Amino acid sequence: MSVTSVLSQTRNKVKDVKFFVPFASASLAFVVGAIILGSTGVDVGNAYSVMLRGAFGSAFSFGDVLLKTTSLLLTGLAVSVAFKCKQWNIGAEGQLYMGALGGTLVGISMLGAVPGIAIFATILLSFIFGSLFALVPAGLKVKFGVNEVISTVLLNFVAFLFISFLLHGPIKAPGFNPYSPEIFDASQMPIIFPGTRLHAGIILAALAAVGVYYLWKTKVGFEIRSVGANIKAARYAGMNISKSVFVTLGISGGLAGVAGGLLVSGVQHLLIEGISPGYGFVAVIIALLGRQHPIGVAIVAFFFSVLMTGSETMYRSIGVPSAFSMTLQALVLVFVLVGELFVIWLSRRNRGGVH
Amino acid sequence: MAGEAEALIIGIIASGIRLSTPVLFAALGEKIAERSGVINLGVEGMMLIGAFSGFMGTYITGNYVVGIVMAMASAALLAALKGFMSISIRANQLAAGLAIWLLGTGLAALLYRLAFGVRTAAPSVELMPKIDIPGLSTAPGIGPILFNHDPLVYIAFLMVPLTHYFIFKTNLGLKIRTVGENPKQADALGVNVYKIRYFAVILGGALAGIGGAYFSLVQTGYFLENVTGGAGWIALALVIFGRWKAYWITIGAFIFGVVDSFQLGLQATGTNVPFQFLLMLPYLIPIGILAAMYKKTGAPAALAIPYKRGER
Repeated sequence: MSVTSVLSQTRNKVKDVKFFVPFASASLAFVVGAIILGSTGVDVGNAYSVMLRGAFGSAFSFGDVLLKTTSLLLTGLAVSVAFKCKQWNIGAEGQLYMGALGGTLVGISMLGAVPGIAIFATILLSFIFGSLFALVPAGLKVKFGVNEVISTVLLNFVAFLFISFLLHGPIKAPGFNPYSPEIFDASQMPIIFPGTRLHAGIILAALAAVGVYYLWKTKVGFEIRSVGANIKAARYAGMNISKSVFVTLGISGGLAGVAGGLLVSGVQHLLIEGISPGYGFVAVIIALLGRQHPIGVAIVAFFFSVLMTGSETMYRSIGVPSAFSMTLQALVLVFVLVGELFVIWLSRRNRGGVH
Repeated sequence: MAGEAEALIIGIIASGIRLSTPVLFAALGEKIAERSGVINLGVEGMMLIGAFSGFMGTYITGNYVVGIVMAMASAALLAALKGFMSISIRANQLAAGLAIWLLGTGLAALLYRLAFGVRTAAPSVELMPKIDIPGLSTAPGIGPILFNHDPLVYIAFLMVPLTHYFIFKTNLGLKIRTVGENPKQADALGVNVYKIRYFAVILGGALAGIGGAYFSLVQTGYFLENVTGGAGWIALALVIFGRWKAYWITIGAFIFGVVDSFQLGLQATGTNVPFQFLLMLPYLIPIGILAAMYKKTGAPAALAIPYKRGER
């Protein structure tokens, strides 16, 4: 056997291991989760089986898994697009809420009663609202050099408060609760599997993933990636950095906004204060774990949706706190980041002392 | 009338100082970490775990000191994990910080629910009592503003010159700054870059823990999910605003606190402005002061860049 073939073999071995390390790391997160639950007297085996049954136990529950996947995929893509340009958009949750507002405004207006056009307008306005809200931190960054991590996070709170204000006043439906009026039937996303809550929005989310995949192949996408990979080189090549920041955050916020619009149009059929259980925050983990690749993001979004749907059942049937899923998701990220050390160590060892 | 207005202003400033205390603790801690070249976006998560542990420790033992120590220890533990990820493993520092934020947020809520379950009446501790500084607390004007607070406010006052002195006048502080500016040179001079960075990050975490405990022990008396309400992020903004200097950070924290106190006062007195818009102010102010800071940086040169020995 020649030297080169031996080398390529070890390289392949490292590649194989590299592929499995994130999965092994994720499993370790579940072990730690089990230890936390077990130490407080929860029957862990039972808890995890309840989680699985909660996600896969019936057509309805699996429909819910795919329903949540829709929200997580869209927000995950939103954050991914921004991360690709090294724009740390942590404001997907706020952009989602603004998108939900945009969708609601269509759904409760006369436009929302026009069949066909209503759904199109709902999605469009939710995209625009989310997008505009993300352009605020983009403008602050380009014009005033404000760090976008901090501005996007803090603007989440502003969005929640703004929605809260509207629901307690201008768009409040009659009655005690701070809810908006229900949207017209024509604005509601059709259910695609009878007996479940799964609506046509999942097709939209899948199309968005394909769209993001092809975005990177366009000229604009190439510029965005170049700015993210090496801002100095991109500037030297004559690319317009500000434009890339605006386009990136505009698309990012828009995708998050559509996730919000779909929550109104496809699930709640009205706007409430807690319409999202933190999809926009979980999206940060999803984008990091999915390596900002649409397929990676889709896989992690599905996996996390199983976790979220399952842990809701865990809460309802055996009282395991709902914060368990957020903890587990963060632990997965920690372990995967730590797992990368293992891969580095392994490839270094295989290089045989070259170091 | 003049006396009334004066009392009102004094009241707003005094409560502003109390409101600025938790963010001040967290910002001073983060300043130390960032001086060593490590940015920790997980401040909010560390504060939340501090708020929970501080509450838990005080609830069980009835002793505030135990609560504070537990808050510092638990937040420092999260900081150590962050250090492990960004110093030893050299994972992306921003990603590692975000992981700590979400882990702290999830863990605090989870552990609280596991400990207490769902109750109609939330378990509570007595609020930390105020201590008047004898002779000074009755001084007109500055007495109630500066010398009529809970002990943590005084400790925060002390931390300002202390952390400044620590960073600029001590040998360890010099090492932290060198490691943050030029780790390679520091290494060549025989400074253990990894050790110094771990130390700075963990110390920063412990201070964030005190800041978190301030919410549960001084402001509310119980633990709530998201009780910190974004204070960790505001602290991160203040570090940039303060250009990594203790006194400037303190000025930023004071502005934040007074604005927050002012909007709370307006809410209480009743105004036509919807309360949600008033509540937005504490989140808009940090963004505003960052925008006003345009192009005046001063960040440690090696901030957010992992160090690897022997690498060019």
